Amino acid sequence: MKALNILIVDDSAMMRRMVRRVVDLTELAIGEVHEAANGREALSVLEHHSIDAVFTDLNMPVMTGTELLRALQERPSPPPVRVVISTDGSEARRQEAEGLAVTRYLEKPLRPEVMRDVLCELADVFRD
Amino acid sequence: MFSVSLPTCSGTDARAALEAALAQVAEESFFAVAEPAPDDWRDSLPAGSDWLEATVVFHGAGEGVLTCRLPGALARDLSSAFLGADVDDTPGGVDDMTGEVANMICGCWLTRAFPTKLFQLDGPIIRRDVEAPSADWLVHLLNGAPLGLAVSAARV
Repeated sequence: MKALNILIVDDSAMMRRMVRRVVDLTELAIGEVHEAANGREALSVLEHHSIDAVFTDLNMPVMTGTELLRALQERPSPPPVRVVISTDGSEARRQEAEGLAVTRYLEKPLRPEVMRDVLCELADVFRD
Repeated sequence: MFSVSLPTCSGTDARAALEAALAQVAEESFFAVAEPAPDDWRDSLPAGSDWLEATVVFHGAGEGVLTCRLPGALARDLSSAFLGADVDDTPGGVDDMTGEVANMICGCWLTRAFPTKLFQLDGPIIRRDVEAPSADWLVHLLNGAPLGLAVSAARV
């Protein structure tokens, strides 16, 4: 079974820590877990590491999550699975994300069990 | 500071949406119950309470500011509940948590009140040693401790 390499992108260190804690508490095969505070830092991580899934916020300084998702679409390498975690649950934002090949759109406040369920879904996809 | 004259969208009352957003964030992120504070909530404040403030500016389909004030002790309690762990050893963690509380409430409120509109939220600005919320703020108790919200919307 392939271990999932994950990148968590959020300008809130507490939010990154919460997501990482949920990841740690699952019994899934998780490989590397990386963190980035904005889209630009995320792209740097993606340049140097093999990432299977990106969990990203949208409202961030320096480079937003939407800009990151657009940049991912332009990369020549196979893009990672993209999951949005945002306070913005508006229909307009969801539609924008759909156009950027987002697999799942999660709203903050985020229950830990929702995050865990998404990780399990991703693990099943990568297992297959 | 709280504006009750915000225009409504889709028949949703902006103030009711803010209260609902606070209740949702409290329950889902912090396993806390939010209830309206009684008029005399200041009487039960511990002497020398240190208050934190997080301000979130939003723009896009509308422009405005949401401000959240809470005692430092509540911010620490919420941090621990959020992570399921003690956060005393996390430098800046309480400030960061206060900002994330305001960020989540603001985003949740805008989504509820204006579901068809697009907004951008700036990063929270944190201030320490501010005054307790004044009488015109929306104040709720979270696990018995006060949290105040104020909204100033220039255009929605």
